[in-house]
Amino acid sequence: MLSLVSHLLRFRLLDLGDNMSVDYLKELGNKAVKKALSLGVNDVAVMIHSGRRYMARFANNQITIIKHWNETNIGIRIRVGKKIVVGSTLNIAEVEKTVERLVSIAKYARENPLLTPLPEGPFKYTPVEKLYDKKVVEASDKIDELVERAISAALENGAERCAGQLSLGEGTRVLVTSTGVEASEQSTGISITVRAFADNEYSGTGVSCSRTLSSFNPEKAGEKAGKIARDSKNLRDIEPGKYDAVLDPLVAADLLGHVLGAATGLSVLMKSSFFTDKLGQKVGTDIVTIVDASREPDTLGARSFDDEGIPTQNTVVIEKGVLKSLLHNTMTAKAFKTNSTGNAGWIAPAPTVLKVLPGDFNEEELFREVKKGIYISNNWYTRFQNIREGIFSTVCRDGVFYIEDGEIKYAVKGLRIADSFLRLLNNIAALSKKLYHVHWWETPIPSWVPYVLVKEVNFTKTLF
Amino acid sequence: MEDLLEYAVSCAIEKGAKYAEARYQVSLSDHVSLVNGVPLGVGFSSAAGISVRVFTERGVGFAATNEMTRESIREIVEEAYKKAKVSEKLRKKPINLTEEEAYRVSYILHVKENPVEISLEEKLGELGEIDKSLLEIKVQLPSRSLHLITSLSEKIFHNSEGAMIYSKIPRVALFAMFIVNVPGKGTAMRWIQLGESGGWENYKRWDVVKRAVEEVKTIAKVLEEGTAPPKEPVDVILGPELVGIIVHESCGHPSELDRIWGREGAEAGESYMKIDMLGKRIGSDKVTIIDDPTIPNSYGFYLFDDEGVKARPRYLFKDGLINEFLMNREFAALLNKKSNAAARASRFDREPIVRMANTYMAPGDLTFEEMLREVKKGVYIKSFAEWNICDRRWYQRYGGLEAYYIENGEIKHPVRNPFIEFTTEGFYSKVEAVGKEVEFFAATCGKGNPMQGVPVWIGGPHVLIRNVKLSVAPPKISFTRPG
Repeated sequence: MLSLVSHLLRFRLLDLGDNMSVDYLKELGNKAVKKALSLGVNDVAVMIHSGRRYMARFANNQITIIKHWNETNIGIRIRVGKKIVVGSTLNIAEVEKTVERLVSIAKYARENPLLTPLPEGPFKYTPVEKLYDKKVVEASDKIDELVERAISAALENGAERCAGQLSLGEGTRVLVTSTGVEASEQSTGISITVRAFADNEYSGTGVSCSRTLSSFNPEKAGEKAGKIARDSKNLRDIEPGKYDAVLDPLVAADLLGHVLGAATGLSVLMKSSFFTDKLGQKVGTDIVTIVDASREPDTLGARSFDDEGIPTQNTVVIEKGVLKSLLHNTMTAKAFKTNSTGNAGWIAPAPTVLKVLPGDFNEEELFREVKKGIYISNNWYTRFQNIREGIFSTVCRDGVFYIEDGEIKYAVKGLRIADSFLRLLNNIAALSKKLYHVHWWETPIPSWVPYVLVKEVNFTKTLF
Repeated sequence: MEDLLEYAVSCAIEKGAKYAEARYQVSLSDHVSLVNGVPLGVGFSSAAGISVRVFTERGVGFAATNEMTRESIREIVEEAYKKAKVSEKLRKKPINLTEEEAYRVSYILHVKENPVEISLEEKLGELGEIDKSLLEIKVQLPSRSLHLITSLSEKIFHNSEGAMIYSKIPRVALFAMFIVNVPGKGTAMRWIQLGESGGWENYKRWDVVKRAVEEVKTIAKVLEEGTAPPKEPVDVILGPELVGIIVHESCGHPSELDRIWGREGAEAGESYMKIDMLGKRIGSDKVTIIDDPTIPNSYGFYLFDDEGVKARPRYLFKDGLINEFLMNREFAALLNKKSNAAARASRFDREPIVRMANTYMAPGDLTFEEMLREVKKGVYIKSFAEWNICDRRWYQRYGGLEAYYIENGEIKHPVRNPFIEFTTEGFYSKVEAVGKEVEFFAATCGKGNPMQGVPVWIGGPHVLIRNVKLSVAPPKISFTRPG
């Protein structure tokens, strides 16, 4: 159960049909901009996502459903003085009507003292590399084969049954503003999640995701899921308490994703972040460098312009443990007397891609650093007791293993991490050399993350 | 619109589908946000379109479009049929659906004031009143986040068995989050969600200003006076808010038959329940848990589900026994049972899947005062902040927020951050007394891929459990080295 739904897919897809060509979408955007200006707004931005996408879901080694979407969404933001109003519609025929409604609402809206005009364009955009691959689109005809390859790999590595999803498709974003921006970008995306089960209740998860078909490896996802499920048998109990923890990239993506989320200008400005009043301070160990990597090639979520038309950049948020920069749109940037980092969001800035810079350790070496610890292969359900202080817990999911003297000894059950994000950052002791591209249902921010060793993590378990 | 739906279904049947359904759905919502007094966002969204779900002998295909033309509808039907056939390659057994009556009905939740027609000015005014009242009390509130959302869901459902069901349900909801700071004592976070189906008059009935002010004062008192929870085992009374989240997470979700069958295994997860566990004991005989979509004004209200099946209350646990699963037509057929109308879709472009509606523990026979008198030494946990549960719905944890010591039947001083961490059976088997009065709370339940958030109520009466250990929050970190 979730308090707020935030799992929006990070790639949108486009219809390559004549009706939804980039030119047509730009024309649509310009029509809305013209209408808004004729009604007296100070500035206006129109963001159109159009896409064609497929998703095959599977369970018990069988495809349970294949889904297909062919949709266009139009978002419009108008500013009248210090008032901002935002609306969205899926009805192309109602674009002008939507603008009219926004303008009429603006009369009743209240002034937002933080509000800034849209940035003046045009801007020069450098395309992000490997954003589009036609082969991904063509793969929709063999979606069942891709699923079958992943399942087979899991079964060959110890799984008895698999569940999961495979999504692929293409999309386009078009942004037109009254301040000189007319930008478009086409992208593709493909991702798979395989959850393998052995002896019914032991499980492991593997993922693969990319924007190009050549980087996509469903077998690898299946293989990892199968092996973890197989190795999770014969669960033992372990005492709760402090252990060194090796976080799988899936876990690192979730937890450090929350760290990146806490570094947005708005959450700090509104004092609802554990980074409130911490800009410029040491918040982690020297080996921790975390980047919002909007420009990472072949990466879901990467993009060359943000929702205000600002060219994207890779922003170092935490550098060698110091909180260097927050993520901004123009509004929060002004409040902090700095420049936008290209992370708009018309209202709130948001992370695009989490990248943790790699460390010095091979994965085997990293495990060998652990005298008495726990390897967590996956997690879910991270929730805050106090978001301001970063007090949280998260449930260990799939295979969880006790490590002694650098070796995995046996699988353990029923654990959760209950700790503080600030302590977690301050206890990061080692990072692997290799980064993995991770994105699945539970981690909405696409990530490039290593294996992470954290000292003295607090684990709890049920008391009755 | 009905003719387009009939066209979609007839196209699918012509192509060779053994069953097809089409759903037109409009989801209108508008929102106003006031964060730390700043009107951050005002706006609306409109999502309208048609989806089709097509069953072949061993496959299922789903497709959706927001282009409501015959040409576009034909295209999505062809896609859905084609993909249903593709999915057959990895499926061995035929898919059957339960036999259900094909209703041709229409229902509208009538309201005095349509909430989406209330001006955003008035809505912002309401939030402004709350914020003003919060600033007038002598409590530091570094973060105040208020969001008011009103929505209207209009659907037409049609299937190849002849059902045609029209529904129109407006809803109102409020989300609020506060960070309370008491110098020298620290901070606490409280979030509240209120929601009902109904009109603007429902919102007015909530008396949000009074409620928000009381909540903030209470949390400040807990920070000011709260002490650590007892280390030794004590009796614990859980308030309706806690009982609501517990029954939702550890009874409602694991009762979903699609999960039990493994269909949601990679995302929302599976279940500790197995299909042969109907009739098995899971808790004390005081425990009865009901999921009922038909409660008037409830946030999860509906009378027919998104497969056209008539809704009724589902008795998930009865007198401590596992009694009934939540089922749609596909999974009920696997048990040779009828659907109990649990199929819901959050928007036009989402497939209907097995969901809860309004899940609550049935009332017992004690007043709160009578329950208190049962306790010599204990803790009363009234509200929570953090919560989570494993994906088989067995190991769970709840972080208490407003909580008090109980001594000799009386409520004493506050307890700060009492955590309670238990297994599902551990909790239900310890339920010794259940209160008389049920209270409901609004929530947005998440499940499915892509994620579908649907409105639900969670609730219950006060519940007494005996002789349990509480745990504490992780200690606050206080390291700020110069950067």
